[in-house]
Amino acid sequence: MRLCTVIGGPNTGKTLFTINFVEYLGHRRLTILSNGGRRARTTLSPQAARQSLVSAREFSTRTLMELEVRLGRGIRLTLIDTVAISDLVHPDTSLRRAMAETVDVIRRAHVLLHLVDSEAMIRDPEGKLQAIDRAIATYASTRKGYAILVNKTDVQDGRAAFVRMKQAYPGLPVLAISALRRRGFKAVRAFVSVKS
Amino acid sequence: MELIPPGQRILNMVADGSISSAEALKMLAKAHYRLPLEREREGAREALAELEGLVGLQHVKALVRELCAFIEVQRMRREKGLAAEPLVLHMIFRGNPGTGKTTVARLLGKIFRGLGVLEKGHVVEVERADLVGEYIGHTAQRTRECILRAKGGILFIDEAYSLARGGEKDFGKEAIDTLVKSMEDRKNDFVLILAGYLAEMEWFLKTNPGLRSRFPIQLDFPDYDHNELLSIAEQILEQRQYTLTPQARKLLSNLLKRPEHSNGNARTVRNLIERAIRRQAVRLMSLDDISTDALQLLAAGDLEVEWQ
Repeated sequence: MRLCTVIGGPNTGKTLFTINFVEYLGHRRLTILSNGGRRARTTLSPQAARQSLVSAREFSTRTLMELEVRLGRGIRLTLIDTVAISDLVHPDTSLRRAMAETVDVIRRAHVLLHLVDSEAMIRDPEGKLQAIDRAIATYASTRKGYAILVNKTDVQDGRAAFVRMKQAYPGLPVLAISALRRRGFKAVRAFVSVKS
Repeated sequence: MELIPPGQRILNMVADGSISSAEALKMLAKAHYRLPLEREREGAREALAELEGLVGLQHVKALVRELCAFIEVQRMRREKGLAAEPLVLHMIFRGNPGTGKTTVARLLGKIFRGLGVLEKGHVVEVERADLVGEYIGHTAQRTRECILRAKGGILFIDEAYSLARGGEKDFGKEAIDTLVKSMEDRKNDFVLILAGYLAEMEWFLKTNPGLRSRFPIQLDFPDYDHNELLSIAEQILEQRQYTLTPQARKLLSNLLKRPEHSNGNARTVRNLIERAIRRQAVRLMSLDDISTDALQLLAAGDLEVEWQ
């Protein structure tokens, strides 16, 4: 099955995006194939998932979660919500192990959705990308199924961050989304539906 | 030889905290080769073992070992951010027919795949007739098609010198030019092996001076000597679960000393044995009761050249 991996730095909204996107695709419940390497097919309501998995803290996702997604017309996808990766070495051993797994699924993924936090860009005095985002973009820019999703574009100046991002990576698909308000999901759905 | 999966090592470094995930991605980005899967690395190990098991070819084996070490070290250097030599793996194979050129090419394909230098590692075997076309422009097109088929693997051109035989006006020249261009444009896409007789290949490289520098690796496949031919026979017999009677063994040794069979050609040995296997089958069919031993045993009569 095709692998679609959601990646990004800490607190960019990967988990919230994953849950809300699956719900947007028409799933009443999330079908979890595995969590933290344990293969056990379970289901969870999006609401319960948001309550238990999403937080405003950094590194709140500590394990990789694989979800099964149907895109219609029989196309199925494995969507993986990953652990934040960063340009710093994290002191927590289990988190580092999960980061290594994240790097591994980045290598194997057919589709890479790279979430960027527009708020962090706005906070940066030069409006620049975070080091981890630059590293991801450099690594993935030559790959086919790679898209940058500028998240949190619902906040003030969020659009400006998106425009800046588009200018910085002219050759790449850069999409504006709001994981919270579920905006820009149509374009993401179109992107993941294309067979690369 | 130990082959450490490069990707796995980078992941281990992330897990043990010696590098950050951003640094891991930078290393992976620099590695412009694809990271091989464990299954492919297993294939490379097997291919290396098979190569070591081949009779003779000591120089070829030594050079392949060197090559593997070189590829691994360059990769490690790249991972550490040190300057790394570009990998140019195009080769010239020189030797008579039946000296193991195609066999070694096939094994190299698997080894390179496992080392992550080739995506598929398959071998596309072509000769002049596959490359050269009938009118102007046709040759370039046909040659490009062959290169495309070999993408991610090895393009093995047997009797490559025949491309230069027709001189300047020959379409073979067009094939050579197309090959040279592709070697530069698609540097990491395929490995080109030009094979042929020693003397002819020397002449070929002399008449095309630009070629030699593009093929940094030259492997010579010497003719097998009498003992090596006997060892090859033993290997073939073992693989197929046959044994020779003492008389048959002696006869085989004598046959391989005859001028028509002593050209150091492994294919001759294979043909001799295959013929004997067929004759043994015919001989056995006329018997009423066939034991397991009889099924395995090749007699001197089966090997005779003049067969009654």
